[in-house]
Amino acid sequence: MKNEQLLELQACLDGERDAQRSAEMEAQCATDPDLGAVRKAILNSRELLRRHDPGHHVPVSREFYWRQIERQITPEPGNRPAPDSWSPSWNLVLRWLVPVGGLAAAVALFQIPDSPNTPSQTGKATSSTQLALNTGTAESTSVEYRSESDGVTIHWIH
Amino acid sequence: MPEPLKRDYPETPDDGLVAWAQAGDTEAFEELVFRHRDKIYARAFMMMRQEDEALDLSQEAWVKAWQRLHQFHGESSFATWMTRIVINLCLDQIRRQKKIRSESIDQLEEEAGGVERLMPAEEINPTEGLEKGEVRRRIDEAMGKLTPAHRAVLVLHEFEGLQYKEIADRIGVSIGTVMSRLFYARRRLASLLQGLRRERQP
Repeated sequence: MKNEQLLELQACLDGERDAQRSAEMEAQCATDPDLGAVRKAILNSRELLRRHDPGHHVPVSREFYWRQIERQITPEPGNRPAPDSWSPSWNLVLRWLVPVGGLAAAVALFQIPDSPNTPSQTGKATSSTQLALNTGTAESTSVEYRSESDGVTIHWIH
Repeated sequence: MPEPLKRDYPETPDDGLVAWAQAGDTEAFEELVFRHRDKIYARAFMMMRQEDEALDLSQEAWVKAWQRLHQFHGESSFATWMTRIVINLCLDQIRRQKKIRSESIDQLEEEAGGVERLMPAEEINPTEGLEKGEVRRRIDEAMGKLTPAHRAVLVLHEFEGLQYKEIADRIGVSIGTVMSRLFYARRRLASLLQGLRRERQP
């Protein structure tokens, strides 16, 4: 038997040749025992594989398997900056402490005229200390404290 | 306003799930993955014979399927379409690894000696009297001993039912090479199964 003959037989059995060619090959197999044996072996092998597809199961859980896929098919959220470990608490400080602190400072400054050295208590205005309360916009208020004796001017803007 | 009906994914056939998935429903796609993941993984494993590699390639196939879902118009079943995707990925991987062109001992034997040297010495059915599970296990073991080149042809022909021409196009070889590899793979498999039977006989 030649290679070509064997491969041609296989092609006939696999349905790759027309009916006439296949019939011719069948006739040869009937008269040639070796060729007939190869024919039987090919059919057995084919039948064996088609009936017994080994099959395998995914070796990980459904959830794990899906998560890997999901991660790649779900669009990423917008390019937000990576959250900083300390920034939320710092943001909280900025959001609450500054206004409260500013308010406390303003209240403290309003208490100055009640102190023994303030002009209101002495009944006369001094040029050394001035307190001014300005209301700029609805969102901001500025308070200015100036002490000429101390040489200090404080602007508090809230 | 009436509440919209909740989709019953497990009870919906593949076609319905595909339509929902094409509209962007990832839960429908997840159900498809759940239904067919074993088959897709099994094909990848049969081609690659490496668990991790098969796992990666099967998951990559699902990602590709999601990206190309709009190209699926139901010409074949969804499972068949998916299987083609995973097999193509495996073939690409085999090509990258140059496994398919490697000069393995089997290939050298095939090319130097011709297929007729591989005629079966005995005509006993090597799986006769064995339970189905055992037959599958032995076939699997024997498949693992084939070269990737021979295994690929065998899988595409016997399990996927592709014609010689389709296999040749997929793998990028001539039809003659496909025929030769298929013949050799069949004979080698039969020979390996005979060997396994002899080894395990008490």
